[in-house]
Amino acid sequence: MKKDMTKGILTIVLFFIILWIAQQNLNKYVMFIIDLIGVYMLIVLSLNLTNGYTGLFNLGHAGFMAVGAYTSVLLTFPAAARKFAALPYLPPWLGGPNYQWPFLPALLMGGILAALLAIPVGLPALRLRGHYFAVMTLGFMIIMETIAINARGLTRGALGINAIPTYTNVFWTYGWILIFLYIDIMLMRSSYGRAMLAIREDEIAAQAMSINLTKYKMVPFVLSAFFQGIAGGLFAHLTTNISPYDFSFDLTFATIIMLIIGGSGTMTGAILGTSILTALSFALKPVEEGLRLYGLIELIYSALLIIVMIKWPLGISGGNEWTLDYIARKLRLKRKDTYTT
Amino acid sequence: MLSASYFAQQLINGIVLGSMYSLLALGMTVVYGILRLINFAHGAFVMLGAFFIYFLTSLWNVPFPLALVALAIFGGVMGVFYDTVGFRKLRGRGELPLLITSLGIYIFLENLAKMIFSPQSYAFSAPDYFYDRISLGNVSIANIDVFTIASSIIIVVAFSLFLRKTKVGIAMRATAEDLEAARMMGINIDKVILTAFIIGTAIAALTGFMWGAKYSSIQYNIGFMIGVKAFVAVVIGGLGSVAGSMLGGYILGIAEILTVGLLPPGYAPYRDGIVFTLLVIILLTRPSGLLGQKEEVRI
Amino acid sequence: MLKLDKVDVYYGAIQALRGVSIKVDEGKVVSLIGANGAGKTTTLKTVIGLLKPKKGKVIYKGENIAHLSSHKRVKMGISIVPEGRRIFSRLTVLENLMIGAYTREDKGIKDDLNFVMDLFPILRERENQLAGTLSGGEQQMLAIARALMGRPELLLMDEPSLGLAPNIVIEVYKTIKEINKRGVTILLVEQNVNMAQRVSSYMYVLENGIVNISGTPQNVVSLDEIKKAYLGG
Repeated sequence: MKKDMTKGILTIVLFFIILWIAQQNLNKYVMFIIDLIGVYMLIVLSLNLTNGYTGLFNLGHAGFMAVGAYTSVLLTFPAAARKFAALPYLPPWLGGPNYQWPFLPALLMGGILAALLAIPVGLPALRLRGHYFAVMTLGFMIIMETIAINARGLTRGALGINAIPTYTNVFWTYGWILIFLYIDIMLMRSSYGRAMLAIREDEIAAQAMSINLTKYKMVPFVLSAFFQGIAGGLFAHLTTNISPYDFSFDLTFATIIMLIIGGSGTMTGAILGTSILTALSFALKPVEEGLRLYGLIELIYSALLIIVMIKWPLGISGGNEWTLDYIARKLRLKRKDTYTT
Repeated sequence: MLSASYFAQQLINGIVLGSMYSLLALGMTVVYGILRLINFAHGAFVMLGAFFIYFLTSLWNVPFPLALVALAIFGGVMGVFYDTVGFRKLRGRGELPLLITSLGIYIFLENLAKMIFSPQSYAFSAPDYFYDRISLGNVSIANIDVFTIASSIIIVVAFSLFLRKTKVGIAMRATAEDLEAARMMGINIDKVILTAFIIGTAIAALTGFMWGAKYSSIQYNIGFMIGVKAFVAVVIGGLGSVAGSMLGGYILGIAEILTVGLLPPGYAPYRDGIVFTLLVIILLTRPSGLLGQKEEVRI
Repeated sequence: MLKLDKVDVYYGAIQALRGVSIKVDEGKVVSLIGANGAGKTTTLKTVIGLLKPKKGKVIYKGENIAHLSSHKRVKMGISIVPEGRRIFSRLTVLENLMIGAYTREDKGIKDDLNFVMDLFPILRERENQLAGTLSGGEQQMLAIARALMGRPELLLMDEPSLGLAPNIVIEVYKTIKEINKRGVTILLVEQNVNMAQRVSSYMYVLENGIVNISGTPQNVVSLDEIKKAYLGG
């Protein structure tokens, strides 16, 4: 156990040293991509809490991201620039007109508000069965989008907010992913996590074992909303401009596709799916623009989704966590195959 | 400020929109009844249908009645593709894989359209006589509105008769109630499902014409909201009920137009939000809809 | 008429039938008895084509039908009265009967409709009523009538006595005899061994997906283990 922990800590330290070296040497655009992959990864990982582990098909995550993004932006926006950006000053109880929040508390506040909002959304929605839940959360996302478009005093509506201070870097994003993974692993090792999996496998049986379904669905739902709120804040301070359309269908579907292609129900699946598809989309972007074939990336995404649904419903990960041990075992097996044939 | 004729005019607009929702809800409710599939891609066929008839009439000058027939056939053929490419291979795999696949097919079709037609919007026009107006006292109604309302009523009635009187229609109802028992009776399930998709997409394609003619503009991305709202209409009316989907379509259409028409102008952009709030309320208070049977958990 | 030859059937990873072999001769009533979960319904579902065997043959009229779809098998003259009746409750009685004749294209459907309504006069009375409003016994009769509308040569019956009052059970069994007398071969699945032995000419006992015992009703019923397990003696 102790050995595992040292191994884990060493891996993490090594990972962040690599990130640091990358940041020193790679150009801004590449770092932006790595950063954005991190933000998407956090979204997809937190989506996996609901869609993967409990078998709820949440389509409302973009709404929670919007809450996190706007909260964080409104709290951190430079006081001097507010007038020019047509954004309101902070009221006295939030620090007053001359105050601007530091990044971390603003980010946390975004996550907390998203999590709080998840409770009244979840209470009714989590009682609904499978695909009704999907439609209801999709409705929630659309309602949030209309609010973001119309609450112009706070969000500047469809115009969006520009010149958001850049705070997000790879250490922020991957740091949050680390925190998420720790919580995720702890949760899934607990009896609570096992109950969640039981619900996914068989709702009726789980109910028969007197597992309170709504309760066990609520925790992953709220937890994932929290991290989606955080991801929203990270996203806003990475791209430096946001509009309601950033938290709409495109983002919803892209992240859902990443999770399913990677393999829902596993953390490594979420990580794989996000990395591969985001990298693919940046690789294809010049092609799309060069050939003026707008929509090419989404076309490929969706074609992959359909193929995966039909041929490999468990996604790339195949329902297994790709830990180092698992990969090693797989490689060994493969080698054995080649010997025998 | 609100004159009676203004109100009547808005009501007509609401009924027209409701007629289109009804038509789409019909296709969705039948497919849902049999496969338990929330067909997110349904709206894509509205969009494709609109573009199809746009190119036939505006570009290649195909005579209108002929184009309409071609449109229905085009819709039916798409239904065949849709079922065989997507869903035949997913039989018996549960609700969520079906829903996800239909979502994938929607995104695929929308982006295919974006690539082919470009992201711009197209000015759509039906033959001139569709825009002549019949006046009824203070209110006047365009022929296209009459056409839409009348066709929706005719199609819904024809479809109900199909379900009651024909062998395939009765088999469709039997399959919707108990798919396994229907198989045991020798009903070719694949054929029934294919028929449901063909009818649904053909109607959706025809609705594409009505949509384009009413709003004079079509774009690659009009489908999603139409499809999702049609599903909201299905939920309001009650899943699996033909009469319910019609009722739900009208309620939704009228509610949507009246919120835009009667609330102070500032609220108009909340339109979609209002639709989904309505959905949430229905799901929470009457999950089986206004006319639907209570859906039991199927083991 | 029907022969199952060493049939293996799986539900996913779970094996439900292990090398089941059964023979049903033309014109006979053969019954398959066994406890819950023994594989009786699975056997019938394999014959009608809802389940496909992983191994073994399903031979009907000399032809291996193991990989044909259900609708083709129904067309070849196999009909089923499913477990729990499975009538279409939102269809009328008449519509249910027409579904029974779904695969037929011949001109005799009308005559057969008259025939089944003579057999069960209550169905004629309730012709236009929704089937869901019928009583349990009436629903069982509808299920039988519906199967007969396929003009079967082989009729599969899955626990026709389940959940019915004793006097109705007797009536159902009278009908089974009557149907058989008209030349329909019957494969009957029952837990009610008492009733089954009265109509059958041969019996198979299914346990955990395996046929261990078979023979004439007299022989099977006289076995101590059968008495103990099924006849409360």
